[in-house]
Amino acid sequence: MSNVKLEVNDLRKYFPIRRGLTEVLSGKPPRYVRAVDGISFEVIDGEIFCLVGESGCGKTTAGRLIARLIEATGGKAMYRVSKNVKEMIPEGLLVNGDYVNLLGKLPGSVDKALRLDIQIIFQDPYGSLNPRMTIGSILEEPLIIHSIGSTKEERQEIIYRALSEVKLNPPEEFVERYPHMISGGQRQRVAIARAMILNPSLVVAATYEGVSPLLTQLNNKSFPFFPLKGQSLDILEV
Amino acid sequence: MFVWVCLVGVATVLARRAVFLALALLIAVFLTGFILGATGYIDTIINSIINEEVRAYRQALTSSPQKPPAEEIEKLVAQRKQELIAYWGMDKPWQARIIPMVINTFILNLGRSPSPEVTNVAGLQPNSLVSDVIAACLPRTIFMITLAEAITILIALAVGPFIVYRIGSFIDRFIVAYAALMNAFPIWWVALVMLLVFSYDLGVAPKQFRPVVTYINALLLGDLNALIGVLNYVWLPIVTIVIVLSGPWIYGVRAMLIRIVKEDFVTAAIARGLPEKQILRRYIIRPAASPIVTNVLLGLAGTLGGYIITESVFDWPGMGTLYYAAVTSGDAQTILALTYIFTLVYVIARFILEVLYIILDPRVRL
Amino acid sequence: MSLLSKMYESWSWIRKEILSQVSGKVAFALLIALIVVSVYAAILMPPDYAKYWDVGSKWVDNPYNAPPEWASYLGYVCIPQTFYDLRAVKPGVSEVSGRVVFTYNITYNLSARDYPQGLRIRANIVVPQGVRNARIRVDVIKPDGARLPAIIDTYVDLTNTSLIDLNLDKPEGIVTAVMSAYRDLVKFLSVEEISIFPMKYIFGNLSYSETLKKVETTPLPGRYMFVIDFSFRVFNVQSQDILRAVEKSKEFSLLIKGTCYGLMGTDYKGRDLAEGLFYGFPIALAIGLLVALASTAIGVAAGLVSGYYGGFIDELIQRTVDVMGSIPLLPILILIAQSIAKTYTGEDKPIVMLTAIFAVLIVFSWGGLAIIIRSMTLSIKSELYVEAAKAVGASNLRIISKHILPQIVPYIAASLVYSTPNAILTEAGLSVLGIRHGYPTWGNILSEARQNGTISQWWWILPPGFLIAIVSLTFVLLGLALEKVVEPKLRR
Repeated sequence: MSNVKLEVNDLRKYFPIRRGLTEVLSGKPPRYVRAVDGISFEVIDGEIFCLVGESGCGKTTAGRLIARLIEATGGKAMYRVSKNVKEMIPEGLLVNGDYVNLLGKLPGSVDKALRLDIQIIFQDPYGSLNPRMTIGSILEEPLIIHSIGSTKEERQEIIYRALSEVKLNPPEEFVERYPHMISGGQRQRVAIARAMILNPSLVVAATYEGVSPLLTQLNNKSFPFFPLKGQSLDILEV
Repeated sequence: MFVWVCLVGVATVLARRAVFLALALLIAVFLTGFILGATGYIDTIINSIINEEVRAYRQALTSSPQKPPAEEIEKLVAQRKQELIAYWGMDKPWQARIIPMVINTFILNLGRSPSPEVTNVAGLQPNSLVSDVIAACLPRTIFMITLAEAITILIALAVGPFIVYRIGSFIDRFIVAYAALMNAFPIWWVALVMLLVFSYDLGVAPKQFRPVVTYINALLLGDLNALIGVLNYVWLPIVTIVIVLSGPWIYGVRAMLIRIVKEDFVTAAIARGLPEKQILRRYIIRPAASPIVTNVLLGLAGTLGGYIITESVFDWPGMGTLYYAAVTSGDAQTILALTYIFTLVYVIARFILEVLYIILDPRVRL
Repeated sequence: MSLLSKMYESWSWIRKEILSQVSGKVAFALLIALIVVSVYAAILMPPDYAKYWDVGSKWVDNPYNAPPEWASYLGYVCIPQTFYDLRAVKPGVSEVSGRVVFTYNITYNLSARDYPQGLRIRANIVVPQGVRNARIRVDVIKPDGARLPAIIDTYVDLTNTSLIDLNLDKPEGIVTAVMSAYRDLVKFLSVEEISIFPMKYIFGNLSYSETLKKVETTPLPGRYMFVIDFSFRVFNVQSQDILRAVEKSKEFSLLIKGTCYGLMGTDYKGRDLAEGLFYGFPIALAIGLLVALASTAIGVAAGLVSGYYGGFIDELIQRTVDVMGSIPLLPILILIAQSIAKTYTGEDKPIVMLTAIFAVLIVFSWGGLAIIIRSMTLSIKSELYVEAAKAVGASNLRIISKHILPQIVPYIAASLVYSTPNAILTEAGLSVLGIRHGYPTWGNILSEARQNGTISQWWWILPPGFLIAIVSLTFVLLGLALEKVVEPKLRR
């Protein structure tokens, strides 16, 4: 078993530019914005990997590609799935035993299963929380989607624990509030809680610095939402 | 070179729009033909015409001085019936009859109207050309409804900007309440009430409106004195329409302008201390032009076929009454022709709008 | 928070917003009134109401084209309906060789200067065995002393039946009666005139007019005496037995029809318009809401699919709406309605026509909402939190129902409110035009008024249109109040 959690090779994302009629008629080849143009890297178990660059260089796009929010134009991203997720993936998609290519077209159930493993925290904490939902509903959503916790009380317990892990205490108060009722820093922590509540093993953090320390802290406690000890948490910071 | 490129780009967009608008036109007329045929309406009408003729023929035979023997009569009647069936094309399914009619309508070969009710509205003889009938009725609708709509629009365009500067004031709230009221009252009912009060109770308006035709015809021939006569008949319908339509129109203009007034660039202009007139002209009306022009053109285009009930209430011999007469008497030619004209005018209006959008709104330009 | 408490919260917020404005207050009050009346009417509505409204038998006793009873304040001469239950009247009894005669003396006071519309004697009596035949004869003694003998004189043979079932509303003997009562005017009297207008001669003062060279009548107020002779040829039957039979019978009455009736008057068939208008409420609401719900549902679904999934289906829906917007609705609607009216012969024609009208309306009106919902969906779809929801694994269905739908609810509500009057107005408009579906709506009443009534019967023509306008107004005002909820930019 290799200790490479994620191996990215020649990752590319090109966005096509709308063309006017004359361009089409003139027979020139289509032009693209090359947001991500052939990057390769590896994320080893237990480490925090940072993609660094100026604003607008494509880091967030790369993060989105890994998180399977947009489709890649080219390249491979072999990801080693955790044990519990591996069960949900059909044999044919596994390469080298435990690896899945994150960049291909995958069936819906596989895609959904991968969400248990790979999560993303966005740069904009206010935008990524639905302003019309309470913190409690926002955190409950992933649980409901993946059928974690069979009763309302069970889910509520998980949510309370998640909130206290990110130091939003008392959790009972926070679940009733709406995003506009808490500060920016608190919203960031809610976003973290949402990302962590499914107990992923790879978190893409498209966010400012300051989040990493908290994440590392969580990492060390290996986040006991479910008794899955021995699982390492990797952070891909973009 | 650049201009050429722009024009080609514009042309493609317009061509694309034109295709869909033409499609709408096609569907409208074919749909009408389909309804006429599939419901069996046109067959019912023609059958009753045939039966009536056969009955009259038999009557003529039996009451003629040299009455032929009974079997002879039956033979002649049956023969006549066959002739009629062949003449009207009833030996073929309705598709075979309607589709040629529809195609003819598109190429403006509109045929003749066999229905006396229809030609009566136009004031012409039965079996006149449909194009003549429509040409006769068109000016009457234009002088009444289109004119009324135009007046309403002018009022709305004058009052709208005035109101927008005084939102929340008494006059503004009055206008909004008035618009709400007029939105609720159906125009044909207000027309009924107006007739009741002004024509029957007070007697200041005519009870019959058909005579306006003579005055309109005279006016079109250049006799300006006829204008008084026309006004005498037309004032009540126009006043009714203006009263009912101006409410929603003013409200609509107001709503369109408000959207823009609330924008920051207008607030900035007011803060800079620009005079009201200038703000209106340069900052508010220009962006509002697009939706306003849209509603104006479409509103005017819709006056041809959109006021059938109102025309009927006044018994006004215009396009609306013509259409209704055609429908009740099952005159397929006229029904198809009118549907074509109504849709055509509307489609042309929309096409003109497309062209205007490109000129008016810089964001759309290529 | 549970779904119900969430719904209640948004509902009370919306309600507060609406009530904070004048238009909202008025609209809300009207809406409550509308709902209350409609529910009440729906509960009271007789089964098979459509047929009941059409059939004449129920309305036979009412005067035709009668203005409402309060029209007397407007200067109308109003004669009330006067009904005498003859079973409760003690007649004078006389027995003469095998004949029993009951004589009823009924006093009728005509106080207004007008003629009653008609009179009617109705009898439904089971007589005891042994009654061979019966005869009813009515004389009228007028205030001026003239006596009109036997204006009604009917004979019933009871050898094979013991049921007397009579409905006498035509004074057949009026001509002879008038001739005999006014002998000196005989040569000036017109038989035709008397047969056509019997009431004028019963309740009028006759005089010869030099200028017109004929007999004129003017209303004659005063005390009238109706002498009703109810006689029986009997074999071995006591008069008390017959009397008891009459007293216990189903009906035996004299009705003198007035010229005014009810709260809203009557139409040309004598139908009580107040009743018709009352039952029209739930029907109107049902029509409006049905079409509004259907077209809103389709519009929302189409808009969501179009905006969310994009691509070919989006193009298709947009082009469809585009094309349909250019097709003239009213002419097509009139054509379809008229075609069905003329060609459909089934029993359920009214409902078929109504369904066809609704179908056309629904098909033509979902487009506008679809385009608005589409643009809203597009803008919400691109929000970050939608992407975040996808990141946690939300399915398309979940995103549409939990993230997009709640935000467009105000638009849906506004659309529902705004489009409810449309169907009511269109149905009424078609009826006024003359395309009758026969179902007892306000539009139907209006159309009959236009066709069979004259403009002078204002109580027939105006109220239905007025009610339609009031119902529309309720929704228009409600929409106005909701506008502020939906588009905060329009807030002052």
